[in-house]
Amino acid sequence: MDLSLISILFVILAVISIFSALMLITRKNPVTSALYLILNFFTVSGIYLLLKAQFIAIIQVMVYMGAIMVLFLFVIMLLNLRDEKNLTESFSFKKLTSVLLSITFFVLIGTTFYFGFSNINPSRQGVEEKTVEIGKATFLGEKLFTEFAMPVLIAGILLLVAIIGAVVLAKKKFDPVSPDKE
Amino acid sequence: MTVNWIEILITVIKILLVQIILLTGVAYTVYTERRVSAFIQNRIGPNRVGPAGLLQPIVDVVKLLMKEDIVPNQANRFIHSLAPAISVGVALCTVAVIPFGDKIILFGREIKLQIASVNIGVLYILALVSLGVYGITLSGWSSNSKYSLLGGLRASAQMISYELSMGLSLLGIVLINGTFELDTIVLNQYGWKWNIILQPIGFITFLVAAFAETNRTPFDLPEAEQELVGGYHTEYSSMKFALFFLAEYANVIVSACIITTLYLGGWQFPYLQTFGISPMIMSILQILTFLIKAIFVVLFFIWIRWTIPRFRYDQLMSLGWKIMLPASLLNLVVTSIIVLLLKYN
Amino acid sequence: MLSSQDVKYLYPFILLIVLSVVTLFLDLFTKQNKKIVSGFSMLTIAAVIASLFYILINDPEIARTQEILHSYLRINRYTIAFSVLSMLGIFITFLASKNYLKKQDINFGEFYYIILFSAAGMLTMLYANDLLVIFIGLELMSVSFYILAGLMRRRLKSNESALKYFLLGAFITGFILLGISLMYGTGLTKGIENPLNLTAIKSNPNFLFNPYFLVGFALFLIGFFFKIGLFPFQMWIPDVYDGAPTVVSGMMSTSGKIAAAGTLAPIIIIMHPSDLTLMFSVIAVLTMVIGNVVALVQNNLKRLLAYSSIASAGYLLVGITSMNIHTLDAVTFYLLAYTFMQLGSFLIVSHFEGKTADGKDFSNIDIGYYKGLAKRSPVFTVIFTIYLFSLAGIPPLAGFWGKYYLFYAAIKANLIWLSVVAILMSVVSVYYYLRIIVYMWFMDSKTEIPEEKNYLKGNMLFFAANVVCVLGTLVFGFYPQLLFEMFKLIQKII
Repeated sequence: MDLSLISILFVILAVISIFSALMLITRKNPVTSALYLILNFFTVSGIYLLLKAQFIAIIQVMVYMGAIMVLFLFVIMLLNLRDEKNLTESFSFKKLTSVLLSITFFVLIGTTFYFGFSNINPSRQGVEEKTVEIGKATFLGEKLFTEFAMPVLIAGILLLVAIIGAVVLAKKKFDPVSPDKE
Repeated sequence: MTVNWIEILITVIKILLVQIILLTGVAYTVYTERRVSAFIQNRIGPNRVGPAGLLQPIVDVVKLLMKEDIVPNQANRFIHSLAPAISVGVALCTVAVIPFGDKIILFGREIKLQIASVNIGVLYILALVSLGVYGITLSGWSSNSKYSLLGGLRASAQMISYELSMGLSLLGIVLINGTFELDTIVLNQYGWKWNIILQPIGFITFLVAAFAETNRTPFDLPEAEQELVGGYHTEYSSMKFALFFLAEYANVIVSACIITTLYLGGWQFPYLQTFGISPMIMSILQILTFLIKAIFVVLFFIWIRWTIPRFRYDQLMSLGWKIMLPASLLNLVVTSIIVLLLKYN
Repeated sequence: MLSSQDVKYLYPFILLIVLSVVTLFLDLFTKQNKKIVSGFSMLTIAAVIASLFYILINDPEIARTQEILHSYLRINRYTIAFSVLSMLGIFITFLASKNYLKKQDINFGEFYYIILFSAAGMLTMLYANDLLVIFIGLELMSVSFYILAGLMRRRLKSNESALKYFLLGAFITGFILLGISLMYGTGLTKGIENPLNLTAIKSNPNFLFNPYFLVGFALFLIGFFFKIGLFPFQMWIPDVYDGAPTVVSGMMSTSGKIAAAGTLAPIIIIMHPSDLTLMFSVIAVLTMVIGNVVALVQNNLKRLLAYSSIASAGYLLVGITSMNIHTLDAVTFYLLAYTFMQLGSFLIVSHFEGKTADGKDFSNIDIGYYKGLAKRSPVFTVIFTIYLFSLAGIPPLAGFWGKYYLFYAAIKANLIWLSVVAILMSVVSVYYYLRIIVYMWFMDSKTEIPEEKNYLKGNMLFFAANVVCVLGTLVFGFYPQLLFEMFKLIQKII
């Protein structure tokens, strides 16, 4: 594979990704939105593949498309949401302010990047090899369970807390111990 | 690097061959299932079209193609058509990483009997399995019928629950082999070292999870006829229905291939190398070994379907979360301890 | 992989994580009796504090920053000081919360071990020498807080609080991650081995002139400003603190803020973004103005304290903006004083708080309820008055010295105008703190509320917590040097 093929693939994936992201936030039907989000995840995982990060790409598919989005769809279907009607609400001052503020924010970041671009002379040396390594599951596993063991442990506790939290907030019968029992 | 056209041509031929075999396999799995079920229920089964009814599948396909394609009034047309496509696509894609044999030498060129040898093969299988839920869920939702919706919801809940134990039981194999590559996993299963012997608990949990993932009895709640008419494909007819049918049986065959590859030694014929036969015959023998093992697993699938009754929904869930998950976790922990001990001794 | 050197510094971590998991199992096996769980979790925190002090006393090496675990973590005296402070806040909360939890029907074991897990997050943040580790710690802390805020599942306000906190927090997580990834990408293209490491950043001071890095840093700062509650990311604070269980609000506003500020201040000292001084100053001024001015018209005490905590965040930023050798000392002292007075005030509010007849809302948290409190419950009135005086910055209480050190640091950094604004705003704040005092001492309640007798009975632990807070406010008020001597901090102001 030569570089140009990768570039062409990247452009195609990026365009689909942006398109699906836009469709995601503009569709009124929640299920359609969710489907566009899935498409978006798919293209992003394609981009990971182009970066030679197979492991991360497949994890993206498994975790986001295979687990999270299925639950999303599940909930949307159970709730049987109708089309969002209030989206086309009339003009309000609040909305104008938020739109203006976010435009300002993007313009600020954009100009910084644009004018800062001349400052950057990227040295791609070493970066390429590093990305190839990062794509491999063995490399990631070795790093995560030796050097990064402590952060991985903390991340595990984070997930544990999230599970406990889901149970605490969602369990049906959860009456506290009455004072006389204690 | 320039694009190697011959490599691409070989890959295309491999894909075509495998898919043709798979699709024919699907047709005759359906036939076999009907014959076996008839045998189990003391009936005769299809025996009119062709000798012993062997042409029945082709007639069935023609019949389905000629039927009217009905889309319910209130249905979401696009998603309604998309859903069976997803189901079939996922089922057919999974074959890509399965090794059917070792390298074969044809026309002076070494060819791997595997469409794509990726270094994340096991994960690829898991990822595609997890995508298979979409076809069923979306078909259930888009049909706009309560039976379909219930079937779709049941299916997604069931598949998500069993995916966990499936992945965890696979991890045992990954631990033993230290790789995600399926061809290496098969290579390591030489002699008596089949993973079914090294990983008995993992094999059982994986097998049960595979039944649940393919929505076969005793886990066929998504299409429980008595309660849900037909489940997620109630509102489908003609070729779209046929696609779901195709996907189901393709999934059965693919699961059989995966089980063969991962646990039954793949194309390994124990101690074949010691016989001293020519490499060409050895390759053919390997492919035959693989096929026979896979056919055996498919027959096992059919046998189970016609002998074991369906679970109740709560039984299904408690089996998944309270038995399968702890069992596969235990398997994982024990395996990792043993692997660690063997490594440091 | 793990040298004994590293393990020595990791004892607090190991203790906390192991014991909090043990607490989880204790709760599982002692279904009925929550006393064991609460006692054990207090013990856990006490053990962590003890081990922190053990490191402090026995290890002279930590006078300089020691890097541990492949320099993903670091430890110095400030790390220990901040860790001790945040653990102290949690300890006081545990002491005081039992009666409140029973009263509000949320006496779950989950309360205890989720707080313990959030403590693990705080320690991670404070120890971290790597932006990604900071992020993980921050998430652990925040996720625990989301759950704690929504612990009263039958209350609409609590649900609102948890949902608001969660949605905004999740959004802010995106900002932090985007910022970190920009910083990482910039560093990697510049050929730096591990660009998220603070040490690596420190050794490349011209990093900050890189626009990509600067934008990344700004996004990272947005995340932390949100967690500390600085303008314009302060609007969640009143709603969340109002809806969450009061003891939890107290804990979030002290321990949580200590962890966030104690992480941010060293980062800013290390990066030393002197170009951003003006931005920081403007944010500090706006935060103080918003917090103090809006607090003037609050009648709900929980909201009032929430706004006062916004104002405090503004004072903290005044200190951080100075970015000189006094900064960390001043921040440490202020956070210490703040723990005692802010947490104490929340505890007092929690003591008088009730619930409405249908059990769907809080009651008795309006300032009207506090009319004539001096006659009904003189002891708690005196205690509350001490906290409020300290919050208002009346000498010689700890709150005064806290503000003094912060403004002193700012003056030393030639930010005289900023200090003047801060002092003026601090004067404004006296109004609303004194208003509560006037209500308590000089006004009579029209409705009859029975006198509170036997305030000690069944309330010993709560009372002990208040004694700790009062003692802290007084002792550090009269002898502020004690903190610096206790933690052997290098800098001694004055």
